[in-house]
Amino acid sequence: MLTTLPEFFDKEHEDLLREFEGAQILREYRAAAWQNAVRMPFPGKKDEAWRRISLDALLSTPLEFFPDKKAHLPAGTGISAREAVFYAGTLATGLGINEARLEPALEQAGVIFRDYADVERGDPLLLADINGKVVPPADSKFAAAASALADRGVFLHIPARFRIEKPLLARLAASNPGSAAFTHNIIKLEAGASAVVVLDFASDGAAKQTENGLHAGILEIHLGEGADLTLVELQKFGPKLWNITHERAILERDARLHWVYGALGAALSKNFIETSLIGEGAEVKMHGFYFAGGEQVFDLDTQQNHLAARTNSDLLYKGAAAGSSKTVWEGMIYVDPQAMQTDGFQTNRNLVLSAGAEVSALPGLEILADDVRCSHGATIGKLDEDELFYLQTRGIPRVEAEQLIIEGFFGEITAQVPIAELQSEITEIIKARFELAVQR
Amino acid sequence: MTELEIRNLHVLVNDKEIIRDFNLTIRQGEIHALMGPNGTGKSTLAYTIMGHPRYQITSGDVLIDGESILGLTPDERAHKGIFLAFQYPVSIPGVSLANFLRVALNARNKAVNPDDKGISVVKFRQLLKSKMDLLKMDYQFASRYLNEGFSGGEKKRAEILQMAVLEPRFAILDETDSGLDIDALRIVSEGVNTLAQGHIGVLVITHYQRMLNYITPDFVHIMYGGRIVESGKAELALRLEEQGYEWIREKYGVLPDGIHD
Ligand SMILES: Nc1ncnc2c1ncn2[C@@H]1O[C@H](COP(=O)(O)OP(=O)(O)OP(=O)(O)O)[C@@H](O)[C@H]1O
Ligand SMILES: [Mg+2]
Repeated sequence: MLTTLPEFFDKEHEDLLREFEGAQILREYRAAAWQNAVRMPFPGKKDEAWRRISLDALLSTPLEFFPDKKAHLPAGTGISAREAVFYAGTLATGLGINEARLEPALEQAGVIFRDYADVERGDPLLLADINGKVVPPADSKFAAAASALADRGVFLHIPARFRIEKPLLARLAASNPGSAAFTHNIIKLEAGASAVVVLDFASDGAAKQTENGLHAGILEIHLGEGADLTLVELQKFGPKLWNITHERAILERDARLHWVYGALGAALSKNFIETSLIGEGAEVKMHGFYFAGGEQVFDLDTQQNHLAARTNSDLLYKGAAAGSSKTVWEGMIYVDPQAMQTDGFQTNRNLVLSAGAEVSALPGLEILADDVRCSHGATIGKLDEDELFYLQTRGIPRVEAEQLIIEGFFGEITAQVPIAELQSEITEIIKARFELAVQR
Repeated sequence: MTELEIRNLHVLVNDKEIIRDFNLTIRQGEIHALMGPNGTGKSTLAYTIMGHPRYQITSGDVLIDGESILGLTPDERAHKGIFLAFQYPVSIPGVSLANFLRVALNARNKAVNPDDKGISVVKFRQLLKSKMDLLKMDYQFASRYLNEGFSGGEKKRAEILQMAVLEPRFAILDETDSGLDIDALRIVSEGVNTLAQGHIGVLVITHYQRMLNYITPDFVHIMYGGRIVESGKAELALRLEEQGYEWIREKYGVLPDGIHD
């Protein structure tokens, strides 16, 4: 079925939902989400969070909904043999792949790390009281659409007090050319649990993509009391994909989250990356990096919500823009009247690598409590000519000197990734992005 | 015999002539000291030789063995064997001194020999350690970000470390002595002597005799108003140390418009 998004949501597609054979309660959840998806307007220029980007191309391009799942199977979106050994558990899902593997000890402890649709079919009760609790379908039309239509996603549940030392890897493919894909992702750590999770939104072979596609997804993170999650999220979609996500984490008392977010792929990526500190003593560190080139558009909306006393948040996002790309970072620290003795920090730094690139940095604070320490800052600058000259006088050619400075610029963020192999992989990706940008 | 020649050089900075008719030839193995009041154009000369885009050459030439280098980019000039130890080295966040120096060494080697495959990490580490030993530097500097948070003296020492690794044919040391404590001055100067060993041409830009006590110059030049006004042997530096620049001002008069000291 080839249709544009507005047409798709205009028609009665309730029959589509029959595809999903979950328990009654889940079918109700999807049906309610679908009602939202149909009822809510598409976001547009009048909506503050959306006014800096254009969805015109997305809304006017006919897309395939629910394509044959086996039809497009790019090589390499699975898990490599090396990764299978390195990670305590791996999950690859999307584009016809669905492979999950977990070390026996984790399995015995009751850890669940599987595809979302799989869980919906096999263990619907696991989802019943989690679904939509962090990112409600009513959040936006796209959130509602993903809630109603997701046919894949990452589901991770870690029981109370279970601490996983080795990291987990989830690879999610969602970029069929010419089609729309919806994902629902859930990470829930019960009280005292801990884990390091790599969430890899990949589309290998994507460089050759010629047709546009859409991924709309939601990510719901719930950290129970004292839970501790390190999440490294990498968006490496193909260059023709439109990517829209609503991602939110809720932290209960003394929970701790370190969220590293990397945006590298997609034609347009609009992401809401939010944390709500609802329990006293909760703490979040948000590190982000993005590198846009060509005609790419990145629009990252971050939110640090302090809703309880003695909560801490610290955000550092760094971006580079080359070619005629456009990047927007808009951040907000909100401090509730009850959130006394709160620290909230927010920094965004940008490198503009070409005259045609457009960069916006919009920090924001809304502080309704006394006795808080909050700060924000943003910079937009070019590569420093004196730094370049210095490196060149040591025999390093201009382009390599630029590359070295950019590597150093992002080094502050990549150093935050707790897995050495992944650090070098990210460094290599950034290098490749830069080389691509220079060629243009 | 390789030589670096600066011939009738005129340089504008922000439309102001800073270097006017500057002439100097440095042969390999010679040590020249360049002294002169603040703002007389010494650093401008150094930057110009290295090819900083901000400095506009209106006439004159800079040549190595009779061949002009003015058409070359700064990295190509480095490949020709020129090195500048900066008066004010910049810091590069996120780039470790070791990583940077390895990239620099590989770039140089590749320029000299396009088939060069790059130095191995192990070999490079050995090389770097031996050079750090020469300058009595703590190895931890290798993993620190380039000049980031380095003290004034540490930066100067790191400049000479870079010179030691890159082994230039001509080195310009722009006030390398300033910021170094007494012991560091001796260590760094002896390091320069070891590296020079009679086969590097060195231009020591300085305000004081202190470094010249260790690095004995073959020639001392006084720069004033953008050009060399006096040249002599080592004694000339001693005379400046004793008498300052008053006699130069008397002899060469007030500086032309726009140049001050
Ligand atoms: N980028 C610039 N913009 C404006 N003026 C400049 C610039 N660079 C140099 N100048 C001027 O050129 C003159 C020479 O400066 P230069 O740094 O070469 O002096 P110097 O001899 O090295 O002085 P010092 O002994 O203090 O290091 C000074 O008047 C300086 O202000
Ligand atoms: Mg100077």
